Amino acid sequence: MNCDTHKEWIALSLYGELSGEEAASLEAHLRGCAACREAREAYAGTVALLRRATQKAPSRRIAWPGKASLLGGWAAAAAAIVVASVAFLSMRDHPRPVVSLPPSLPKAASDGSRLDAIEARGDRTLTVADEDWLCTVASGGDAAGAIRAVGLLGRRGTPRVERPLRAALARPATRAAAFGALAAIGRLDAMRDAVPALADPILRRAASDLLVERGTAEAFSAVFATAVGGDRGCLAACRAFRPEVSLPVLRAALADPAVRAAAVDLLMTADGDAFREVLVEAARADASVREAALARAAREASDAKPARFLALAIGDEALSPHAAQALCEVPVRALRPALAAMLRECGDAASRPAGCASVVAFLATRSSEAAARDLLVEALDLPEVRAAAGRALLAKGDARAVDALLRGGTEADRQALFALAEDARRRELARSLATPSLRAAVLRALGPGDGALLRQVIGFLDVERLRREAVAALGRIGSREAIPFLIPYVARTDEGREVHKTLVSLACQDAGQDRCDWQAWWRSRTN
Amino acid sequence: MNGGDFPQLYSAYRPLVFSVALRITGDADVAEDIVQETFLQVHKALAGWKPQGKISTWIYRIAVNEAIDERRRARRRPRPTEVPDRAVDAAVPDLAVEPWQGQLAGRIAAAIAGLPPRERAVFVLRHYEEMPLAEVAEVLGIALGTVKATLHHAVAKLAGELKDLR
Repeated sequence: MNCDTHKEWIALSLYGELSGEEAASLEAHLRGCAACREAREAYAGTVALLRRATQKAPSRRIAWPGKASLLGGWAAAAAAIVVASVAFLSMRDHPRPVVSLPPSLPKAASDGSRLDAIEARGDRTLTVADEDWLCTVASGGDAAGAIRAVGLLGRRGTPRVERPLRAALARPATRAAAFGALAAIGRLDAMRDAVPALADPILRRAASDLLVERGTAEAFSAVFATAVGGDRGCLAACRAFRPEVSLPVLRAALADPAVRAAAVDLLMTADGDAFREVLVEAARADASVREAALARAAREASDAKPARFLALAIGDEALSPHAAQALCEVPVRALRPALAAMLRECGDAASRPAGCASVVAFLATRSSEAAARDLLVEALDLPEVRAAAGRALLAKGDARAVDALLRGGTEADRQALFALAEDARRRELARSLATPSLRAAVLRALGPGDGALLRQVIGFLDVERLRREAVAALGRIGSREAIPFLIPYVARTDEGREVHKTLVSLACQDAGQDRCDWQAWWRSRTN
Repeated sequence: MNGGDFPQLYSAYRPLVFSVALRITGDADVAEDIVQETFLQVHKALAGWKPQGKISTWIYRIAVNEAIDERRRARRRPRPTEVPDRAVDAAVPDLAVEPWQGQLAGRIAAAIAGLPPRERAVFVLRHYEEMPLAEVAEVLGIALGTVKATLHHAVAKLAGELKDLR
């Protein structure tokens, strides 16, 4: 697979359009391909820029021509329905063939010319007579005329037209237009008008946008209550509230079985880890939340946000066993990007050693899966979990941990190397001994049971730089075969004294600090 | 579905159609034209519409095909009754093409406008309308693989165009 395919996958991953398997393959490729890493940075930066630009746009406050008041964007959208109706109805003036409109949206008849005239004037205000006449048309039986009249009142009317507009709000045909018009004249109240409007599918989007703009906990609760019923638009609107408003409501909602599922859904899929961290915290304290959240996340483990929640849960010492249980049928490869990110964070901040250990412990239980082993290899870069990760890898005969453990060089790392089966250990340590930079580390790692490497270790006695390590290794291996090779190095130097100590331990007696005495002892013993 | 359902359809989908058309064409007048053309076709075909898929997909398909038809710009003539204060400009609240969003939005709008029509359509539907790619493929009547490659090309080009803003 080439870089072109992977670059395509990078773009798709930014929109959550990648399968778990593809995501895992992409991550593996990115580790080894600088060009694709660069592309990922460029694409992700661009998509983030576009999203930021959309979010930051001062679009929810639009200066309405001729009005001092500022409107929400939704109000403009609702008003645009009116304008579009006007445009649609005026197609008789358009060079296209005339449309035969359905009976429920009839062409404006006798009032049409006066409406046309008012529109055509293009001024910003209405005369009192026009305003009164438009109020009459707005409440009349001609739906198309009423929509046009409501639109005009909204765009140019004075606050005194509130009452007829409220009447129009009660009529299905003019409801959308009146909602926008009331907003345009600044007579719409978020809680009084928008909350009931949430019940109307046509007004729901506009109403939820108004409530988002209001931005209070009460407004969020109203939108959330509609989202609970499964409305996707309101679910999206819930995500537009500031976390400091939505988080407390959602946290409280977790305690209510009737709305728990929706709260879990929002907390799990919102932008920002703060939401998922609240969910982790709640799941730790409440078994019902835990079951709901883990089951929900496990069902969609290949999606980035549920996977992130699962990674946080796995990294939480208390939740980790429950997460592992919930994930027993989910392949680790589905979670690979999320767990890899978690490990990277452990490496960056070093502030979550416990989380890191839990992740590695989880991966160790799943080490029969290649994806888990690949992640364990990544964990080898983290000193606090290197031994545990290495031990899990070596226990599965995966020798990729050997060099990392040798380089780590702690007692725990050396102990972990014993997890390798005897044959594999001999083979891998012999291979590492052939690597100059690893020789000292290998010599330090040798112990009882490594007699098969005795000859190679003896060879290093001639290498001055490695002699101390070789002498100590021969002592730990404990084979008397090494004695005649050590005797020439007995001397009254620090190094010579180390050799003497090793000889004493191997020979089980002390022939003194003189090399000749040891040689005499050896000859007498062999004769 | 019959002609009597038309007002409901119009109310429900008009803002969406306008939004998509405006994002793809970058021109409020052309977008308004597309809204009219789309609902004209919807009205004509409504009686014979068979529920083989989502009605929204069908409406989107008409609108997007109209929007990516570049010849539309050349065909369009000034209307005798232009909406005087261009209120339609405010129809979609967060469009990148609007002047109040300043220079950044202008650059973004120009970059999107620079994409070939089909790339622009795929990008707009996925990025701004948050439509799953499978549905984008259905709307455009092209293979999912082609949609994926097209989205990639669009993102790559935008990354190149906007690299100094990242």
